[in-house]
Amino acid sequence: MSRVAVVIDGLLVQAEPDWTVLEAARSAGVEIPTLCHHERTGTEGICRLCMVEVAGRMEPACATRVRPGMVVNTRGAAVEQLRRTVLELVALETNVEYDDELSGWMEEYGADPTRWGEPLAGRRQRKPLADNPFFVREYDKCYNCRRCLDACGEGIQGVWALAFTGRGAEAGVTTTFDLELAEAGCIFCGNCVEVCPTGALVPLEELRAAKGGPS
Amino acid sequence: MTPPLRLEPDRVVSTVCPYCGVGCRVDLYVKNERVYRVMAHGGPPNYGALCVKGRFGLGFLHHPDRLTTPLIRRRKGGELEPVGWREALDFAAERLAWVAAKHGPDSLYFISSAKATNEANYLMQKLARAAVGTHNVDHCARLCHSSSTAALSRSLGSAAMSNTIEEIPLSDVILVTGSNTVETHPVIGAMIKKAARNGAYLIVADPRRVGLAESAHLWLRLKPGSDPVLFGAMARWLVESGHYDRAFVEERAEGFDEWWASVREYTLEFAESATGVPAEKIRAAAERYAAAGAAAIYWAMGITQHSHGVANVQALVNLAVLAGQLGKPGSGLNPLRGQNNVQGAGDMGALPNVYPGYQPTANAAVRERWGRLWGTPQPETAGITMTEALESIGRPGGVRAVYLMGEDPVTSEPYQEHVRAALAQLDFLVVQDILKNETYPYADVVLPAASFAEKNGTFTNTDRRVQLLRPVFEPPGRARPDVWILARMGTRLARLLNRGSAASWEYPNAAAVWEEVRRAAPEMFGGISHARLEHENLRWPCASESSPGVSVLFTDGFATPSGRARLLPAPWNPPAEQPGGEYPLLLSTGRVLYHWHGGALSRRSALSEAYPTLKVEVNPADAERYGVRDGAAVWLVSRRGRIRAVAWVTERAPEGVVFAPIHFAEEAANRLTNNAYDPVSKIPEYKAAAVRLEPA
Amino acid sequence: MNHKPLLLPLLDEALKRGPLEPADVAAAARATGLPAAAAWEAVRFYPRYAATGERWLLVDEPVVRSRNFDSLLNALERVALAAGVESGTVYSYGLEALGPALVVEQGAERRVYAPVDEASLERLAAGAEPGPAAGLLPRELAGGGWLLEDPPPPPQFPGAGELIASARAAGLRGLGGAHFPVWRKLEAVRAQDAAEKYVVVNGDESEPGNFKDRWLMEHNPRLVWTGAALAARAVGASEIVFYVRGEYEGALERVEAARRELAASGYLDGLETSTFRGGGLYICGEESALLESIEGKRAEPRLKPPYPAEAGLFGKPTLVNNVETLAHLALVASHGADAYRERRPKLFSISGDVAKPGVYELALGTTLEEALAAAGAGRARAVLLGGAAGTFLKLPDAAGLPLDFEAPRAQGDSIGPGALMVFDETRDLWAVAEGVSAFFAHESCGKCFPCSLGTPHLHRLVWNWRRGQRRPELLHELAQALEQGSLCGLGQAAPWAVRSLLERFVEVNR
Repeated sequence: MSRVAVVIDGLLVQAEPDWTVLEAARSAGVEIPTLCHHERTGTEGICRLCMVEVAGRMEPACATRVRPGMVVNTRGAAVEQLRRTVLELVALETNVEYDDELSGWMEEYGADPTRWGEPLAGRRQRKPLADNPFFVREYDKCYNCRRCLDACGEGIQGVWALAFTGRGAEAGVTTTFDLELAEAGCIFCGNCVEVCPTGALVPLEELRAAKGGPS
Repeated sequence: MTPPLRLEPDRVVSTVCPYCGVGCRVDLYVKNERVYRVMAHGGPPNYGALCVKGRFGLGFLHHPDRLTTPLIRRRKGGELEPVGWREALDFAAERLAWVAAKHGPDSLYFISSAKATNEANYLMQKLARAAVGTHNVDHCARLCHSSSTAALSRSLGSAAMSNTIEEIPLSDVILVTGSNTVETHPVIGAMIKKAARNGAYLIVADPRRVGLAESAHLWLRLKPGSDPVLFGAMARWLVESGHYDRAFVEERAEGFDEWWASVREYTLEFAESATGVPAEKIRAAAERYAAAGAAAIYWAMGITQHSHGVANVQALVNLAVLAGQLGKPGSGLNPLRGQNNVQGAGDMGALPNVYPGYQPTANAAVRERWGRLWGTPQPETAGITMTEALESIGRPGGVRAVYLMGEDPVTSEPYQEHVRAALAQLDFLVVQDILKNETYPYADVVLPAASFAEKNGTFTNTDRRVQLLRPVFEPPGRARPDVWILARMGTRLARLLNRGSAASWEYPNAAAVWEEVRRAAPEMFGGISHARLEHENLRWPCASESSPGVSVLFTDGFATPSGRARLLPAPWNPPAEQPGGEYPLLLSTGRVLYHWHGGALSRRSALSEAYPTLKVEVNPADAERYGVRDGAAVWLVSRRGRIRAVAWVTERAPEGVVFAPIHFAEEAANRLTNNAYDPVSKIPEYKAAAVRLEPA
Repeated sequence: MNHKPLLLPLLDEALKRGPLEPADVAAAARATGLPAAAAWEAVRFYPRYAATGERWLLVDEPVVRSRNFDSLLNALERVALAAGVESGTVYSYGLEALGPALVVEQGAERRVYAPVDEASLERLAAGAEPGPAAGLLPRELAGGGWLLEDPPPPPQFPGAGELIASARAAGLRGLGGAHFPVWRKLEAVRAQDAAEKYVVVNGDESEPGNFKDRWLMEHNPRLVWTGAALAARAVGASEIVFYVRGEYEGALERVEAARRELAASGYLDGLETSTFRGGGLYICGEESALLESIEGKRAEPRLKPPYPAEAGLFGKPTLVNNVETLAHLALVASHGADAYRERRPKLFSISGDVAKPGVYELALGTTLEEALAAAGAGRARAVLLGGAAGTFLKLPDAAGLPLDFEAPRAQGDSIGPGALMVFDETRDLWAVAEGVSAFFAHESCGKCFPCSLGTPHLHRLVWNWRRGQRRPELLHELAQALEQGSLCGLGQAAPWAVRSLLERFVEVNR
C-alpha cells in the first residue's frame, strides 16, 4: 500500500495508511503526550492529552487516522493550554507521584495544579485494596485511563474481572459485582499491572521491597 | 517506557520466562539481589502479555530450599555431606565410570531436562554418547509430547508447531483439543480467545469444560480416550461428502488407500456412539474445519498422554492432510509444548533415537559423522526410553546408575511407589538440580545448579523461537550453571573411560557450546548465533546468517523421504485400564493455572498462596452418587495407591471422570496413575486410570 | 430480531422483583451474551438500578433554579429528615412549563408531581398527595400546528429516492440540536451494503428546558412512528428501536401503544419494531452513547469516525434521528416538500417568565421577540436559548434575532433542539448558571478527562462566583478546555451558558 504524506509541525512525514497521527508523529520523532493510549490496549481518545490541531480543529492524535495532505500542529498555543489544564486537573485529583512521565509533562507545560484549589473528586481518599497474594490496588493513584480494563477484557486477556463503575469525577475501577479479585474471575496475569501508568496497580513484592523488608 | 516504580531498580535484565513453552520475554527488576517486579518485554512471542506464573511466580529463585553446595553420600545408607566441587565431581565421575566399566555403558542412564538450556541439553547427550558411549539419554518430553513427536516425524518429517504464535490471528478456524490452553499456556490461550472474539471460529474437543470451551463456538465433549474415532470420523466424512482437499491429497500426500480402509467403520453414527458427540456436531466441525481459508489445530497432553497417544496424534495429522490444512499461514498442526525448553531438549538430541537436529542414531553414516565430530566412536546399540529405563532398574541387564538433571521422577513418573522402589535399587544416582525435590533423598551425589536467572544460554519455545537467557544474579552459594558442571563431568568421564579428548570438553562459556551445535546441525541452526540473538528474533530452521528462520513449515514439501505427507491408520484402542467394579471412575491428571508440574518451582513462590492444596474436580452427579460435598476432604483410590484431596464439585468434569492436578508431591496424583505405555512413544497413560472416591 | 435480548429490559424485569442481586445481573448478562462485568458496569452506571427504598426528589432545572430552588430544597430536606426519608434532587423531567416538580421514588416506581410549593411538601410529609400528578404533559400545553394536531393518515412510502429527494428539497435538518441535513444521513445509511441495518428513534430528550419531544411522544406518537417507518424503508433497515427517555414513563406507554396500533394497521409490516426505555441520563441522548446503552453497556460516547451510519447499533449501519425530525419527515411525505418549505415548521419549548409556557410550532425565522410575544413574555431580560447546553441571549439586544439554523449560529449561539427559557430582571442568572454547571458535573459519564474532571470545577467556579469569589481567567481557561478537549457534545457545551453570561451579562452582576 502506498504511503500517505502528512505534515506534522512542518515536517513532511510519509505515513503508512493505517497509522494514526500519533504513530506518524512518533515516526518523525515528534512527541505527543498521552495518558490513556498504550500499544497493547484498545484505549484511545479518553485522556484528551494528545489533542492536536488539524485544520483549525482539535483531534485526538491517538484515535485519528492519517489523511492525505493533512496538516497537523502538535504544539499550538491552544493545544498547549488544553494540555496544561488537563494535566493540572489530573494531578490535582490523583496521586501521580509515581508517574514520572506525567511529572515530566507537568514541568514541560508549566502545569500548576494548585491554581484550581482543593481536589473535588474524592479520589485521593481511596484506601489501598490488598485482596490477593500478588498485587495491590491503590486507586488514589488511578486517573481512569482504563488500560487495565482493556487488558483484562477485550484487549488482551478476555477475562473481564475488572469493571468500571460510577459516573463523572466519581467514576473508577472496580471488579465484577465489586467482589474480591479472585472471586471476580481474576487469573492474576498481571497484565493490568503491566499497562498501569500510575502505579495504582503495584506488585506486592515491590511494595514490600520499597518498605525495606524482605518478602 | 519506564513503569511507575516504587523502587529504583539496581538493574533490569531482559530474559526468558522459566515456566511454559510459550517462552515469554520478561524484564526482571532487581533490587538488593531480589526480583521485585516482572514486566513483559514487548514484541514476540508474548507481545507484552504474561501470566501469573511468569509475573508473580519467581519466588523460588530466593527460596531457602535452593541447593547451594555439592553433597555426596560416601556409602549407601550414609548421610549426604557437603564437599567442594572437585571432590563431588571426582566422586560422581569415578562411580559412574566404574558402573560403566563393570556393567557396560548401557547400564548408565542420562535424564536431561526440558528446563535446562539448549547448551546444557547438548552437553548432556554428548556426555552419554561421547564420554560414556551410550544412546541412553532422554528427557521429560517422553512424558508429554513423545506421542506427537512419533506421529509427526513419521508422517511429516518434523515434530514441532508448523505455524507460529503470531499466526494465531490469521486462522479462520481454530481447533483446540486436549489442551486446557488458558491455564497451561495462558498467553497463547488468551490469544486464541481473542482470535475467537475477532471472528475466528473456535472448535474445542475436550471431555472437560476447560476455559476455552466456554469461549468456543462449538464444543465437542467427547468421551475420554475416544479421540481417534472423533477425528477419524471427521476425516472420513470429509472424504465421503467430497469436502476434502483432493488436490492436496493427490499432490502432497501418500498412503490414502491404507488410511481409507482403516476408517471404513468410522461413520458419523458410529462416532456418535463411540465418542458421545452428536453426529451433527461432528459433521459441522469437519466441514467448518475443511472449508476454512486457514485452519489450525492445537493440542497438548489430553491427546498425547494415553496408551494410544500416537494414534491420537496420527488422527489429527490425517485430518489436517485430508483437509489440506497444512503449510499455509495460520493453517497447520501445532503441538503446544509444555516446558520452557522442551522443544530445545529434543532439538539438542536429548532423546535415545536421535542426535541433535533429529539425525537418527539408527543411521550408520550419521553415527560416523558424529563420531568424527567428537573424536570418539559411536555406539550402535539403540538407546532406550526414560520410561523403559526406569522400568528396567533391578532387572538383569537393566539400568544401574542414573544421572539426573533438572528432573524429579518421583513426582513426575506414573505409579509413584514403583518409582521409589526402583530408585532405591540403583547403584548410583546423581541429582543435578536447583532445588531440593522428592528424588533428592535417593541421590548419592547432589550437584547444585544455577537457575535460569543465573546463567547464559538459550531456550527454544513452542514455536521454534530460539531465545537468549541473560544472567540476572550470581548463582547462590556454590551453585554453578549446568554447562559448567557438565563440561567438567565430561572431561573426567572422557579421561576415565578413555573416550575422546579432554580438550573436546573445554568450553569457555555457553556460547562456545552453541557454536558446536551450529556446526553439528547447520540446516537447523547454522544461521543462529548468540550474537544475533542479542538483537534479533530468530527461529529454526535457520540455515544462514541472513535468514530470520522459517515461520510456516511445509509450505513446499514435507521433510519425509518422499517429500509427501504420509497418511497412516490411527487405530482406536480404549484406555488400558477401564473404570468399573471397585474403581468406577476415570481419573485424568494435569495442570492448573497456578502451578507447574511437580510444584518444585511454583509451590516455592507466591503462587502457593493462591492455590495451596490439591483440589480434585468432581462432577455434581458423581458427588451426589458417592456422597461428596464441595469443599470436603476426599480420598481418591486406585489399584496403586490413594491420595487425600479437597473435592471441587463442578461441571468442568464430565460425569464419570475426576480430574486431579499433578503438582502436589505430598499427595501425588502419580501414586494413582497407571504405568501403561503407548507401544510406540512409551508415554505413560496419565489421562486414564480407574479410581474410586471416598469421603475422608 | 438479529440480536440477542437487550440488557436493560432484562434488568428492568428483574428490578420489578426487588433490588438487583448479582445473580440477577449474571443471568441477564448470560442471556445477552455480554460479559458479567459489562452488565455490572451498566448496573453501576444507570441510576435506576441503584434505587432502593423511598426517596423524595426535587426536580432541578434552570427555571426553578432562577426562582425558589434553594428554599424548596431546604424545605424538602427538612420534611424528609423529619419523616426519615432520603431526599435529594433529580434532573429535568421536561416539566419546566408546569413549574417546580417533585418525584417520589419507591424502589423502581416513581410518581411525579408538578407544580409543587412548600405547602406541597408539608402535604407529602403528612402522607397526602403533594400536588397535581404530572405523569403526562397536558395536551393543551401545545397550541396549533402541523405537528401538534392530529396527524394526517400515514402516507404511502414514495420510494427511497423520492423520499430522500423530498427531505432534501424540504431543507429538513436534524432537530435534536445538531441540525445535520437529514437527506445526507438517509443517503449515507442507504448507501451501506449490509444485510442488517437499524433505525433508532432518539426520544431521549434530556436537555433541560426542552419538552417538545415529550409532548410529541405523549400526544402525537403515531406521527413519529410514521416517519421512522418511512425512514427505515428508505435506508433499507429491517428494525426500528424507539428509544424513549427513561424518566418519561408516560411517554413510553404512549409510544408503545402507538406502535401496536400502527402495527395492527399493517403500516409497519416487514419491520421489527420495539420501544426501549432509556437509561435515564442526559448522556443517553448523545447518539453513540444511546446506541451503547441499547447494547447494554455504559452510555458513553464513541469516538467518531466511524459514524452510526457506517457502524451503529451492534456495529451495523444505523440511522439515528430525533423524534421531531422523524415527525417532520412524515409531514414532508404527507404534504410534499414545497408545502413544507413554505411553512418551515419547528417546535419550540418555551418556559420561564412567560404567561403561557408550552410547546409552540413556529416558522423557522420567527424572531425572538415574536416568539416571546406568542408565549406572553413580559419584561424578559434574558433567554437561555437551546437548553442547558445553550447560551444566554440578552434582551433587548437579541430581540430581532431570527430563530433559525443560521442566524444564531453566526453569532455563536444555536436554537439547539428549540428551547427558550425566559428570565425577567428579578432572576439571578448566576443561580441558573450554577444549576446548569451542577447538571453537567452530575451528568458527565466519566469517560474523557476534560469533562469528568472539568465539569465539577466549572461548577465550583460558578458557585464561588455567585458568592463573590470571581476567577474569570480560570473560568475562561476551563471553558476552553471543556469545549476543545471533551469527547462529546456534553462536555463541549457544558461551559456555553456560563461563558455567555460572562460575555454578555457580567457588568450587570458587578
